[in-house]
Amino acid sequence: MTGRRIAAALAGTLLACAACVGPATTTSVYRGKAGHTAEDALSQLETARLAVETDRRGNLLHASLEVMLTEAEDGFSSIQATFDSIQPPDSTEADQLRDKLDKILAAGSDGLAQLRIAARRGDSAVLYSTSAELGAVSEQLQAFSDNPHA
Amino acid sequence: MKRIFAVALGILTAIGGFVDIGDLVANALVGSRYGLSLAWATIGGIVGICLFAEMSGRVAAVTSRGTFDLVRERLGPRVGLANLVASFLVTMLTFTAEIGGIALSIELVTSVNYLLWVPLVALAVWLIIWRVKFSLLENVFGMLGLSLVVFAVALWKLNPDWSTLLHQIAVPDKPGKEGLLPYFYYAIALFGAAMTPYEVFFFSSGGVEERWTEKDIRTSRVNVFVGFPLGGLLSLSIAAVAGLTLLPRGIQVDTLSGVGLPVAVAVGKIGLAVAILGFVAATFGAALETGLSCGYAVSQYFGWQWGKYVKPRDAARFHVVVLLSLIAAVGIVLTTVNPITVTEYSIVFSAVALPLTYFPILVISNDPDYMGEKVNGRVSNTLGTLFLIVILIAAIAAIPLMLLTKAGQ
Amino acid sequence: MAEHSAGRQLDLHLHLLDRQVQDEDGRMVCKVDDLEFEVDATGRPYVTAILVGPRALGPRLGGRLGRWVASIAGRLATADQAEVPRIDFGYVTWIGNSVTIARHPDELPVAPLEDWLDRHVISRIPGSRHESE
Repeated sequence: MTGRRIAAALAGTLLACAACVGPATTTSVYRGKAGHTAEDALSQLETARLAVETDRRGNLLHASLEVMLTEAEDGFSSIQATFDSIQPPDSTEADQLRDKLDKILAAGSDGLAQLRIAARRGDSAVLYSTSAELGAVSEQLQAFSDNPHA
Repeated sequence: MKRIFAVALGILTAIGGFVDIGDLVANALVGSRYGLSLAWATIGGIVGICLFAEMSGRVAAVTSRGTFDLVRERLGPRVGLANLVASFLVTMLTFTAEIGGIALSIELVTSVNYLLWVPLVALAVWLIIWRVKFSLLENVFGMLGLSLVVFAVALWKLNPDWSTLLHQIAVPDKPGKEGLLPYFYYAIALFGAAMTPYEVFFFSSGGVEERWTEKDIRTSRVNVFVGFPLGGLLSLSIAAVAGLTLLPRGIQVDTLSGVGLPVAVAVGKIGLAVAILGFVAATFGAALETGLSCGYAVSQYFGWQWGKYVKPRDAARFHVVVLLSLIAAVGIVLTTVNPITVTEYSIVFSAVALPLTYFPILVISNDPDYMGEKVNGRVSNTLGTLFLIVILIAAIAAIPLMLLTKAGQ
Repeated sequence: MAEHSAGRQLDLHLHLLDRQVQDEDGRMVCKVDDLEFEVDATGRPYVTAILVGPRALGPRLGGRLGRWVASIAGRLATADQAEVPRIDFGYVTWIGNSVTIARHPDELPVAPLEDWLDRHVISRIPGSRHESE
């Protein structure tokens, strides 16, 4: 019978962890989550940019480029959505953190959408220039993830 | 001459067939995050699979019986059933991951959404299991899987500092920013990816399918001890190129396209195309193997006639199990769950199920009643027992680590 | 009752139960799911048959699972399968690392599911009559 109780406890823990986007209790915890978000978002953004650069050097199949850009865009928005759904703690710093990161993320997701559209249209000029501009967003994300502050 | 050809074929097939979706994803992910500092876990996994594949191949050659057949005899119906259920579920999960992997690979070269490929892929998998001769199936997909050598080519073209790479392998050290818990979580994942349970019962059942006898033990050993390590080098190459091209840019691989990106960077369009061919071959071959293994496991436990070496009409239950497993796997993929996520779970649960698979093999290959003179030597036994302890630790730690690190984040 | 080799002692648990049963061509028949005993004139029990199938295996799985398996199988059994499927021990010709019997699997009523699936599912799929090429 204890076996069943253990199983139930384990199942409960698993479910709880699966839904692990609960509220961040303190500002430092929230800061940590923001930092992680930036790190994950950077990964998606840089994947897209590296794909575009590789395409620019004539080294990427077009179909693969489209797939990579779509996946990066989807991944990025999902990371953004997860971050936005976290209830920030009741402090000015948390709100400022949120605003700052949200701005950077918004620039990122706009850029990624443009990349996707340009790739599907075959518009190389826009593709390469947008990717170059997104370098600035990458730097911001990198800086933020190294030291998340408002 | 014919003998050399057969041996060469066996080795090449072993190399090409070594990697599956779990190895692709795990090695690329770990490489992009840790470079080669977890290579020790991959190498450990390779040694382990060599050890146990040799044992199970020997068992098949001597007894002409598959692993599960013998598991029930040695462990009894209750424990055997528990073992069957666990192994079957893990293999089913892996089967699902492989089907997803095939579809993702085709998407990568067509940009048509992977879900649309799933029904076609499922039909192809089933048709090949139904009609194609076992040895042909193994040889074709094994050889095509050799395309993954392009990862080694990519590594060479990237012109890395070899001494740094070797240092990373030899002196395991986690990069500063990373925590200790995720590090060990990924070590277990790499272990689970290299030593997936199905490989062992597939290998032994395959030996029976190909009617191995004691004369074939030496060939099987050559395939295992030469082919598998070379295949393992491919796994290390996948990790190495990810570490060299993606790690500096903060990219963590979480898609199949990410696994191939380093090859595009290093070798270009043709390299990527070859890599994708390799992905298709590896995942398709593994789908066939896991699908068949679902059938082997259940049939062997219950004593049903199984195998492709008989008419389907003489192994009706076996083929129905395979078919139902395929339908279930396809159903899961079509729920649009991320196939990469399924892969990651299948690896971790494989790690948990490892002791269940390997302990019986160690026991059976030591039993003179079955093996006659061909029981394990001292080396096999010592190493085997050592590995069993490591596997047990990994199995116990796997789920807690997964929960604590939220699957490696 | 066939005597395998005079004077060889067998531990039923170790050498007989859960063993693979095959025919003389090496075709797989079933597992020894359980054994049937009778008592001879002097009061000693002897093995009379191999019992096969979920109704035989269920009780050996023990506990609630075993009873459940056995009862479901019992309910699913048709009228002509009133008894637990058995292989008369007289058919056994060899007991080694598997049990060999002198009958073809088709001659024995031990695999109703196989026959059913063969007739209704597998034989309807083209290509089922040939081994893979």
